[in-house]
Amino acid sequence: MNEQAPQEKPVLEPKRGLAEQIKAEHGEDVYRCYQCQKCTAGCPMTHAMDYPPSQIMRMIQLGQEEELLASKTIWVCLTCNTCSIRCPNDIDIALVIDSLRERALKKGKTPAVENVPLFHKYFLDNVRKRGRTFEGELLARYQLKTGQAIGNAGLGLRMFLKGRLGILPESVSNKKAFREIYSRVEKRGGAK
Amino acid sequence: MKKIGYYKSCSLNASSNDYALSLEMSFAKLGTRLVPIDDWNCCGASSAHSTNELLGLALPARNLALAEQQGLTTLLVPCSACYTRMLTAAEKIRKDDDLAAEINEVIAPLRYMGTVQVKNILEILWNEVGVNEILAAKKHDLGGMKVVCYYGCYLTRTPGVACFDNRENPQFMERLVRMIGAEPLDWPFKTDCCGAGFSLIDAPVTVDLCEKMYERAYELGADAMVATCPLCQTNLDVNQDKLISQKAAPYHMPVFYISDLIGLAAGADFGNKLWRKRFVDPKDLLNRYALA
Repeated sequence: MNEQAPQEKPVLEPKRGLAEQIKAEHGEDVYRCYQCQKCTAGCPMTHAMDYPPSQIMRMIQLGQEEELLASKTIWVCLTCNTCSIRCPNDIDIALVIDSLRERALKKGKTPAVENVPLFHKYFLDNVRKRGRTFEGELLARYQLKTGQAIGNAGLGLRMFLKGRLGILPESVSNKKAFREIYSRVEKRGGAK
Repeated sequence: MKKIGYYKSCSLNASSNDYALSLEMSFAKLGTRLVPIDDWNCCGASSAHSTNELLGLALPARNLALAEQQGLTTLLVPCSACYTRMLTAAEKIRKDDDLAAEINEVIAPLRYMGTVQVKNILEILWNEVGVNEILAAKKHDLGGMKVVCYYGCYLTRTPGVACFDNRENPQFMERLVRMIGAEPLDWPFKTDCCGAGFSLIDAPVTVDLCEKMYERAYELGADAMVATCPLCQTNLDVNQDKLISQKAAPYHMPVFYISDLIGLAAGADFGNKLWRKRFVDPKDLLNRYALA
């Protein structure tokens, strides 16, 4: 009487499209990956990742975009390029991971690791202002926001005493013309 | 006097101005003048390419266009993070006309035609300054100082571009330091990542990556470490100092730039104005080798 219909196993259908888009936009063909896992073997950050690089490649082939853009891996990757130069199929894996980060930002996904995209944003804002980084301002802004100011204040002070922190910002001669580079990139659909 | 183009970059302009000092003083001893790109801008490393490929190519391209305009055909890019971005941009623009057109639209009215050769410090020392010049300028011998040569990530790992040396086991730095009398040790971490790109984002990650490098270098009996990149040097220097003061780590291996050692051999008078900028103080070591 209690017989139940046999449970249906979920069937994972690969979704086409993500790998094709990455190929079109960034020139890297992820379908070339045959899971040798050399990238994962050499990666110095796998301990902090939820999916190692080889698995990221497979997930792209299967079109698992939601999982990819919500992963820690894309924010933990140091872009050390070890994976890219060891790939026997010449996939620039670090560039593929760059492209996932870019995609996550464009689509407004909540990043699994908050501080990394925050730093990148502050860094690029800083460069946009004057064409050159002004480290003092960048660090103050980032560390106040992330609450790291107290831990790092000692280092900042020592850098200052060693004459290694600029007090005044420097800039390119024509800041307005420089900022055009950013506006034109944004007009072409780049992330802000 | 030989002239070489020079992308001074943000680090060398501020937090690693000691590298700029070291380079400029040692190159003066080698009869080579470094000519900075006028009006250079930040290349965006590593935030630009990490989040926006086009911006990550356009920012270096502006510098390349300016260098080209100034007639600087050979360009030294001392920072490895900048080097790989400038090299990547130069190569992609050279190989892909559509991309070149797009980037030139982004950086207009500037225009990059593709004539600049992007070089790292080892290539410049070896091929542009030249081995003969380095040997001829040699006034002091480094007396068998035991060093580990650290290449880090980007000196030998620019995907899609032929590398000047072996990617996994490069030798140029070892050859250079041997020429001036130091003894390079066989150390397996020379192309491992020290995490410097994350030193401002997440410092503890970088301490872990560095610690295993120090441990092995110390076991091998290294007197010092040699680096070429301002981010690597600062990261290795600051983290080592941290481990010495917080965990009483037994090592004390000053982290030199390759230009420090080349300059010392050529008799550059660096003195306290350079060494005071470092965290792990090199003065005792230099005294021990009669190089102070």
